[in-house]
Amino acid sequence: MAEDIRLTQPTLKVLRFLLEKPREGRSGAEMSKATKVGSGTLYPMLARLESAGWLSSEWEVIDPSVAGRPRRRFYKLTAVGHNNARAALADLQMAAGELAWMR
Amino acid sequence: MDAVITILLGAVGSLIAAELYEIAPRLARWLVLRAASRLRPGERDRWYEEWLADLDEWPGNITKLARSVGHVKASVRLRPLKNKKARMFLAFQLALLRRFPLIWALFFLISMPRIPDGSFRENVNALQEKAIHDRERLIRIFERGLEDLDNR
Repeated sequence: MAEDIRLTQPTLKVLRFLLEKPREGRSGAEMSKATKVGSGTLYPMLARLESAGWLSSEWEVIDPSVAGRPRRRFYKLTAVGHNNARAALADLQMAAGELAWMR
Repeated sequence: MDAVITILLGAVGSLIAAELYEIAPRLARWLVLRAASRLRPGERDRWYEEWLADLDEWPGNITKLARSVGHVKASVRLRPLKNKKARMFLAFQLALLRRFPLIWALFFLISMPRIPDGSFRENVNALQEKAIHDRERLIRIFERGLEDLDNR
């Protein structure tokens, strides 16, 4: 598992969104609507976070032929991802606080 | 005269726009198929289904089309293009779609194959069958041309 995750602005937005309800799975479209991160950026980021072990994903349990639509894939934070995301956001908040204090 | 041309252009423009709005969901599904088909074989089915589900969650035909352009970009990031010409061609297509969607749509109105509902594999099979059918048709036309030449 690679640990090297670039914490860009869109990544932090998505992590913050997932941290709001860490036990609930969220689809890519839900994340896009909430964070305004486009699909061209979002899906490669989700793939990177998943391969780094920060996220886990699973298919929605429906029969597409009965539901009349394709299955969604839901992502949620793993225990490692949860800790790392909280630490990253806390670091960011601290850095922002220091910056504000320096001004 | 200018007024007539303006009215005609307006009418043609609105017809194309209406047509684009009508075919936008099909175009979006086609783009998702193209995006998924350039990924590694083990990843295609997953992303194809996930991206179709993504389109399904957004209202509005044009929004779906815009999302599918994002999926093409995502597929390039998931598996970067190695060939420089292919990279430039894709960038050109995306720029054309963003800035002049009507011109881009015109090409696809002419050339786009109909995408049936179903799994990625079924859709690829349908495209392959169409390609084989087209090739056979071309061979038949070519053979008829040769026969005509012989008869002369």
